[in-house]
Amino acid sequence: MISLFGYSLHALYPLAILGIPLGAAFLVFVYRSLGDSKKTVISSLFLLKDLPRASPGRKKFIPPPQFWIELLCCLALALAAAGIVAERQGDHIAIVLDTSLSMSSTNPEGQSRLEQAKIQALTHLAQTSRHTRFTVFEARGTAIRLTSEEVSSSAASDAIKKVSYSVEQDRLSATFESLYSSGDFDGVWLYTDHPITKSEQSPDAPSTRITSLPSSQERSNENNLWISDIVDSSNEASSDLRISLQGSVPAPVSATVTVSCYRSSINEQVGTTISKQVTILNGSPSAVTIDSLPAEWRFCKATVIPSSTTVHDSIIEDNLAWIIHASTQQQFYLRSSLTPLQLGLDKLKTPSILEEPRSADSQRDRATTTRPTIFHRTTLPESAPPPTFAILPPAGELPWGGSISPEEIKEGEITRWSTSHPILQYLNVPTLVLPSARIVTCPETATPILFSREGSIGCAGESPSGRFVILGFEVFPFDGARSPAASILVLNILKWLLQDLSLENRPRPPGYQLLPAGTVTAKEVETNRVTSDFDDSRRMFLKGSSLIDFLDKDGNSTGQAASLFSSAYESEVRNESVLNVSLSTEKTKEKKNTSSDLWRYLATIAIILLSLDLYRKLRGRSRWEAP
Amino acid sequence: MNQSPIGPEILRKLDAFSLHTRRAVLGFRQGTHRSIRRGHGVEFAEYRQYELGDNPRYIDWNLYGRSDKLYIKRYLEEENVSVFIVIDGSGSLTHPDLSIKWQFAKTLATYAGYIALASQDPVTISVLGHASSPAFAGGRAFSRIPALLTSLESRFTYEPKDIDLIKEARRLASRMNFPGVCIFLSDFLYPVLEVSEVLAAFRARNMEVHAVQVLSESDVTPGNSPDGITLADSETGESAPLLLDAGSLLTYQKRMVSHVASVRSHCLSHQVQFSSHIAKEPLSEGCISALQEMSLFI
Repeated sequence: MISLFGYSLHALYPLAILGIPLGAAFLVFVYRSLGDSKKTVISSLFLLKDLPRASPGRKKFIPPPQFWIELLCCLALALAAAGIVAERQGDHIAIVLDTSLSMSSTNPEGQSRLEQAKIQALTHLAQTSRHTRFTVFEARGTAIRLTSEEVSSSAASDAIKKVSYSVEQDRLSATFESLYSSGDFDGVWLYTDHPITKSEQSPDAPSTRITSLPSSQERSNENNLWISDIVDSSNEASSDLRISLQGSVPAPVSATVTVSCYRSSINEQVGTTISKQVTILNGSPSAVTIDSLPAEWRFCKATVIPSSTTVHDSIIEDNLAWIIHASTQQQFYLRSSLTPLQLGLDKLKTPSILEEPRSADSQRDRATTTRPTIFHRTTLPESAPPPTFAILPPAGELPWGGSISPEEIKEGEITRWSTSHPILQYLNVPTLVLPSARIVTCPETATPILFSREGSIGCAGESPSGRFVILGFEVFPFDGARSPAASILVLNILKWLLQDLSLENRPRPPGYQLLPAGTVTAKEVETNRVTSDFDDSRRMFLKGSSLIDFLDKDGNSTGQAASLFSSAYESEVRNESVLNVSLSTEKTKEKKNTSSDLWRYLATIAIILLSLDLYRKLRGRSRWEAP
Repeated sequence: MNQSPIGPEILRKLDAFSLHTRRAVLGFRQGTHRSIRRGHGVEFAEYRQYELGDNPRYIDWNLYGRSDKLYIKRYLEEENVSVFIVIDGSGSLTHPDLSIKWQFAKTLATYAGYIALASQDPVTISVLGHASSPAFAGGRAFSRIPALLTSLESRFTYEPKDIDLIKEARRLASRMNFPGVCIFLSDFLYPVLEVSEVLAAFRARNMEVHAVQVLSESDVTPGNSPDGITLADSETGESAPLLLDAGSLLTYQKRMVSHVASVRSHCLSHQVQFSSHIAKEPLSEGCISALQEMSLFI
């Protein structure tokens, strides 16, 4: 066995390695005996006949390139026949840190459970051999890999130091099981605050280590208060909030609930801050009702603070809640240490949530949300409020489907148009001069109405919620152009969009919403979604760390809001929910067999070299031929 | 190398040459070379007493007035000369590995042919060992120069066979109907006796023979290989593993110099003009200098 570059090489059939010297000796013999059979043609041997002759034995052996190719081929064949297998030295350990909200719980000394776990993990890291490789995961919901595969202990140490807790709920049992049974690791190191029950650790799996922090004694010394529920019972007449509190405390504790409400931003507080005292009993929720809230509030902040300084509240993230009104007219609350503005509520897909003042007139309220919206050279939201007129929208996917080409056509000439469409009536299309345009791939529910030579540059269509028009070129209706074509086109489009509203007997206030490009780019969401049951009728999807998408049972979006989501399960710092892990020796044995069969590659190399040698022979490039 | 060696620049240089035979020739039509015949040329040759049957127009009446005897005034005739260019077609010139010699010989033959054609002399180019030979004569011959090159390129390819040069030279000489000029291009790397026989075949047809030796660099230095090298004869295919160290090379080069001197000596003693050239790139320059060395072209 040979150690090379962190790999241990060993042969299944070591005797075959003898083929290397034997093959090399044979090659040298053959080449020497054949000699340099290259003949140099000269005009005549007439004058050379009596010159001294060369004997093969005296010749110095200068191997040609083909000799080296064949020697390499012989070497590869011999090593392949020996069955060379390469194995990485050292174990591959998966380090899993529980980063759920409960790990942020601090002891009276101010040290969090996560910090204790990090210290433990770093201590264990320092005790490993230098060949051991690690992959660091954090467990919040699912396991999220923090390092590339198989890093050194120093890189793993750096990754561990950077880990911070989240507000999510862990699912450690499934996470551990998936990592342990994947066969990719020789062992799993798990650091969590759950009490662990496990089968006796097998001698075959010494690398697996499960650490539970803190101890039961330390756990019993930690207290926590949190907002467990909020009910917004506001109606036309009054605005009331019912806030429920809960605590993991050994004895009844008095706490103060404070509520502040705002109109559209954190700087516009409406009314005064309301505070109420409540007594929290161990294990059972205590509710307090905040009434007489000002009517124009758009969102409120609720906090709970223990009245006694002797009570240590180990998790402060769950003491804060934000209550907002969603566009779906359904109230929900957020538990977050961040404000709605920090969470990006002003950058939601429906910006009117915070910008539009709340009105008692629901009819008018609905009308304002359905007025035509014009997006002019801006970043379109993912679901634009119809009816919508989009002029030269950004390249890429459209909210209604279809797409816009990124390449602009210079001096795009309209070569074809749909004469029957109402948007183009009374319009002399050839007089419409376009300095530039972009190709619009129309959504399925839309029809192309204007075409250039390269394709369609304008679409009009209807989505289930309203009409929309997309133009792949600029229109300046009243900029003093020679032709009134642009003005007529814009007026026709607005008329067509407003007709849609009149069909539903809605009022038709003129609407114009100009969003400068780039204002809504911050609402980009991560693609991975973490599902959490919300209630029977709706499900809440957490997109990334700050955006929640409410879906109905059919998967359709019913509203969106921003939040940092946490559960009472995580706030219960005395939670004794036991994590059951089963350790089996078979899984680690599977890992041991996953060594790379180097001989296959060697055999492939030998075949390639043989092919090259044969090719050179056939092409007559060989300098060595049999005499 | 395969491009036409007769470009505008070469033509300009070739136009400066003219064909001059050493002795009077016997042509078959009016030309520019001094003939052995007496006739109606410009240059006065001799007086001869009038004999019955002579044309009275050629009587020199001034001389008759002074001497009261009838004399006929005779002039030197000027006739054309047949130019036979013979290339050694043995493997030593036509082998692909020695193609530089063949290219040189072909180019030199073309240049010589062009100069001869410019003097209204008929040209025949033959390759020993190959039956068909192109012949060029008359006013249209110039336009056939490219065809000459093409035919030399395509017809006479290397065939690994041993050619009996003496037999082939005699066969070719038998087809030479008129005495004229014979330019024989060969490497002359065969025994002097054989050289003598080949040249004698042309001389026997009353030819003014010009022997041009074409050698390659490998003929002068076959290779320096102290560990041994296998040399193959281009004509016979015979191979020999030889030690070509410095001593062997020196011996070989001495032999080569001696052989060339022998051939030159033989040629001088038999009134054959001899010149030796080493073929190398660029061919055109080498051929022009070879023409300058040959006394045939001035």
